[in-house]
Amino acid sequence: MNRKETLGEMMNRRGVSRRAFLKYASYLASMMALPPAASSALAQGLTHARRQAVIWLSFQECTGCTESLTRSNNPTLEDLIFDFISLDYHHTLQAASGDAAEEARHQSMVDNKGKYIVIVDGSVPVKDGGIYSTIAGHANVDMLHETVQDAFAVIAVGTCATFGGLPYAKPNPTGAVPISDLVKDKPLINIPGCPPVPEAMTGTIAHVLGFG
Amino acid sequence: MSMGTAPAIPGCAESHVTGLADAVLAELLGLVQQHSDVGEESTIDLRSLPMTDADRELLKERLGTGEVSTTINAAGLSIVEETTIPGVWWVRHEGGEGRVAAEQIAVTRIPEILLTHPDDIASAPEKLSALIHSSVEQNTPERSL
Repeated sequence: MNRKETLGEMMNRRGVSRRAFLKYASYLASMMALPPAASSALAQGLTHARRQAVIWLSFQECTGCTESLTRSNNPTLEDLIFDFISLDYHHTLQAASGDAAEEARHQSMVDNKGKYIVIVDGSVPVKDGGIYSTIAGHANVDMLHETVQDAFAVIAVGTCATFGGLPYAKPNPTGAVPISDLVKDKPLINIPGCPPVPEAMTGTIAHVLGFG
Repeated sequence: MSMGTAPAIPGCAESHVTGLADAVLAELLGLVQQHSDVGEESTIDLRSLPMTDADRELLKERLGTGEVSTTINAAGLSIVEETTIPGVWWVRHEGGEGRVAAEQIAVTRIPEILLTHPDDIASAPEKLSALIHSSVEQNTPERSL
């Protein structure tokens, strides 16, 4: 898709009407306890937003957070969020693997410098240089710092990413820490839960898209 | 709160009538008066209130169903009905597997979701042209050699 295209234009091209936007916004406003009148503003914001680049990093986790977000079987109201984002990197969901997967992450970072969102599930081991969890030969802690440096914001999902979770439990052999211990210079949104309520994740992303 | 799966009031059965239906009716009276006096539109989000299923059923029964009842198929089913009180609409949006995603009472001449959006109207000529072009192609007899 053309990244300059608005979500409204893209959805119109796919045959999705503005009514679907309004309905989605009503659903989100209700779920997030926003005033009912906010739904029109949210729908308007989503309509004019650009498709959001998202890089999803999975560290010391069980994939339950991803399962929670994707558990719906049929394309429904709740799944509209997947049309609103460009999931450029996600270990479990992306087709690419190995070097091609890492290239996709780097390309997204270059193409969307300062604009992409990093979603992280799982805690990060920092003991002994972080060698207890690596991806493509890189320690999680290094990959996190590299990816976050040009991000617009970071969303930590799940108890492991927000508070350390099971890996953080004593005796914490890997020196696991939550994302908030490592990311200090970017907006960080914590969505705890094991797994988090899927609507809390999609609602947060939609709120960022609709209201900035 | 999540798609109606959790109890509205912890420890309170969904079949229990709490009296909130009457409280909503009282609030609605003020909103209907405002709508009548100055045309101000408003919405009550029923899912944000600690109402049980029985409360909502009682409220719906009290308000009744008026002259207009319609369904919308956009990212799942929506049911929009005018109640027996003119200008008071019951709007129910469903998500996956028929779960209730949002339920509102709208005080308005017509709920916004029933109106065709200007952007959708703007795409109408192109869509109709494509439809005409397509039907012309289908109905043009092939020339025999």
